[in-house]
Amino acid sequence: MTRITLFRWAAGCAAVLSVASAYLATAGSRRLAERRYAERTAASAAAYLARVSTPKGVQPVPLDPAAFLRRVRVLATLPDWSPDVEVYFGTAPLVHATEPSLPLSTIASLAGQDSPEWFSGGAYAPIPGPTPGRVVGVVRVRPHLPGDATAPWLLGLLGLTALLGAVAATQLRRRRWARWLGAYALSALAFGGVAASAAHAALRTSTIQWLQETAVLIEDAGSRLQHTPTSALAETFKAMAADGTLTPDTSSDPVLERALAGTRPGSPLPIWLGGGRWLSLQPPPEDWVVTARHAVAGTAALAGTILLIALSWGAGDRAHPGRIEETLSAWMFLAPAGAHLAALTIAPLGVLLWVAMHHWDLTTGGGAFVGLANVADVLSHADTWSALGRTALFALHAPVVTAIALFLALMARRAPTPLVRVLLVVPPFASVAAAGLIWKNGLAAWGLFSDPWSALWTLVVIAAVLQIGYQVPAFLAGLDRIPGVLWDAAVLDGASAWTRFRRITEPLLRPVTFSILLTGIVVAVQGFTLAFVTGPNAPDLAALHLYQLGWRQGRLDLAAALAVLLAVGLAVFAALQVRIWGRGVIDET
Amino acid sequence: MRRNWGTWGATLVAGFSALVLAVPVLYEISVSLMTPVESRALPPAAVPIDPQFANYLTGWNGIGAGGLLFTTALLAVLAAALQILTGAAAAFALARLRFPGRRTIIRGVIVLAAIPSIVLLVPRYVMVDAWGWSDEFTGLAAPALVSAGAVLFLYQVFRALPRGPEEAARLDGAGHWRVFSRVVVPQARPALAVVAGFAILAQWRGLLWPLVVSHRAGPEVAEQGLARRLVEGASGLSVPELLAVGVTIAVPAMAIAACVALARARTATAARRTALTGGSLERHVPAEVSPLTPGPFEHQIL
Repeated sequence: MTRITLFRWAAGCAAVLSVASAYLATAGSRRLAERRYAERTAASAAAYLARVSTPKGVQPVPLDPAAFLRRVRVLATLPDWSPDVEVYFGTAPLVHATEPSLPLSTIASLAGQDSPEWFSGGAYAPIPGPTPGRVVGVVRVRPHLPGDATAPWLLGLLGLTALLGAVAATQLRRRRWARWLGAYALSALAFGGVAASAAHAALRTSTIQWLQETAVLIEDAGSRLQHTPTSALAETFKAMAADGTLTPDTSSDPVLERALAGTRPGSPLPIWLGGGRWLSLQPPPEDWVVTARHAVAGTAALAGTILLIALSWGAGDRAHPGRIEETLSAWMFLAPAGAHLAALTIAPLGVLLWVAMHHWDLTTGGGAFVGLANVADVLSHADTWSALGRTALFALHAPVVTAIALFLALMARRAPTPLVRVLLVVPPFASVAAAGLIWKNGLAAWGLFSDPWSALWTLVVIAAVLQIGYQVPAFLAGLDRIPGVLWDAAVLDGASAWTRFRRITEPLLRPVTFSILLTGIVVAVQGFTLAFVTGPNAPDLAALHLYQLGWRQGRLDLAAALAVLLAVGLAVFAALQVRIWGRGVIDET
Repeated sequence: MRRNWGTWGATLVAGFSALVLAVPVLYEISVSLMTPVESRALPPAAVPIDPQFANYLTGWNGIGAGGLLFTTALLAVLAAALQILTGAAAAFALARLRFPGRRTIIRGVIVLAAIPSIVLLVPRYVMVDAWGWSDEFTGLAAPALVSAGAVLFLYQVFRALPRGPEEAARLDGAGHWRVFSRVVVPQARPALAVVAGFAILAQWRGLLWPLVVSHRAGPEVAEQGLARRLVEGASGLSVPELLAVGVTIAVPAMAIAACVALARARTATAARRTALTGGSLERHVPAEVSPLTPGPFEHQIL
């Protein structure tokens, strides 16, 4: 008893600690983003000041303090340039004269290097003087990014997750344990997701803000060098781009297009220097440190859940020796199929929603987030409605076909030779494309493919023939499972054929019938090949419409939206299938 | 006597229906032997006056059927082998090993098996394209290598197997892997053959995924090669020649289907004669999930 209680204490602490460490990891990630921003901005500003206050061509020249002071005033008042900046000339602050002066030790530590340093809450970048290796001053930038909007959420979620973790720990191996653990796991997952996305957004904001502010500096510096060609400017201003890259922009796009190109996040920012000269400022590649931090945060958020499960096994291990070994083996057996299903069946469900809510072109790939606009777009087209309507009409053949197939199977079951069964099974495995062509070739002579409506009814007949051939063997397999002794007993009791069907065959065969009917409907709704090969007057069935939207018009987003609609429509049938297939599948041992 | 009449009547009805169902296929073969002029005749001719067996050769060469059939066969065999391997392993774990979350996973597999493939078409393409597999054989094969339906079916089969041999093997010191590979799999061979058969047929008849994933210039499977030429009409082949290709590429699929059907018909008849409950393995599996009824297997037949 004591051991379990100690267990629960330890588990509770671990659960809370795991969430707390996840929070610390993401908070650290945000601070890292701020720090990167400050360091880059300080480096850019230092390079800017060094560049604009050095008279070009003549060097070395002693720096003129008055000119430097003017430059600093310009820097502090540049429009669209907003960092919390302080410039020291030597140790004296120039922007806010009342600030305390810079300790000599700071300058000394900066003197030997050209990259910015981070001291207590600010990034310090040395301003190189005209003579190499000398420092005339220091730029200090304090991070001030826009406030983190998700912070209250994050804290609330943090508290909730920690609370749930503590409760789950106290319920360890009690009756409701699984429920609490599930709630805790879900909450931890949500917390990890929100925290990681908040940290990611902060990093992105900081990069974009630095890009835009550096562009202002480069523009200002470039406007002073009117006649220098862009290739030389890119080299001269290299230091101002910090760890980003500055390249001459030689494309011939119109001005507006270039300006618009700069508004897309992640793309290089075009900078106009006047006189048709353009530079392109590329942000530095994403930091692997930050990615690693996100991974750490995600792992930490879920570590508590994993730990609780592990502790629960440990506690239960005395009752079931070898259980951990068996569990590990089971996961190894499940791994290949599980990995594939996760990657190519479960993940696509998320990707489907993602594609359906973004602009997505076949050739150029993903674009901006558009929400439900794609669904609305698809729904607003008459084509969609006619395709969905015709698909529904087309699928109506399924129940009729199932009834006919059942009848034929009942007949074939009594046939004394297996030849009849084989003959019934083989035809549907002919090439569907060829079948479509042969029907079209034969029936088009009577004008049956001349307009979409008669083509639809013709397709229904073809589909019915194919489906019957497919369903008869299915019914035969179902009938073979019914013990023949039941019918024999009924015959002895003098039951008629109809009574035997009503009282024995039909009830015992009902799940099979339902399964076949549902599969028939689902197959019919997804019907593609027949409509594809019997075009161009063939009815635009949903699957064909989806294919044409996606791979003929190149609008994968609209195709995805249509797929979502189809999924909603088919959900009822899929749910019924799950119910039928799941009946008796899961035993209680 | 009455019973005899009923049997004969039923056989007659079934045989006649089988013939009716076979009419399109027979007509397909018939037209594939016609001259182009005959195939366009009004009213349509039933049989060729002078069978043009050369159509098969012209069609085969004109469409490159050898390459198409090779790709299809490679794809089908790969899909069958991997569906059996991964499906049997997963089904063994679900049916025979005890571990937390087992029932949740089974429920999940059932749900996955019920997802219509059209829903997954766009995202699978987007993912495969992002991995650089579109217009490659890899992309063509990727989604077919594991089937949730196969896992579900084999789970049912394994669950119905007697536990005696396994327990004996365990007493002799066999581990999970040995029990799986030496005891469970050999007992389930007929079921594995069924999975293989359906995997092959699904690959043989699937059109939408190959069409999508190889939409630029990727490798083609037989059905796709035929359908594309039917639609584009730029193959330089006449209708009878195209149909000859259609008959040729369907022969392997129909042969497999006939073998499966014959084997099943034999066991079913034998089982009905010998025992009340029957000896066939299929009998122990709930009919709802059996691939022959037609269960949770992917199929594009329309």
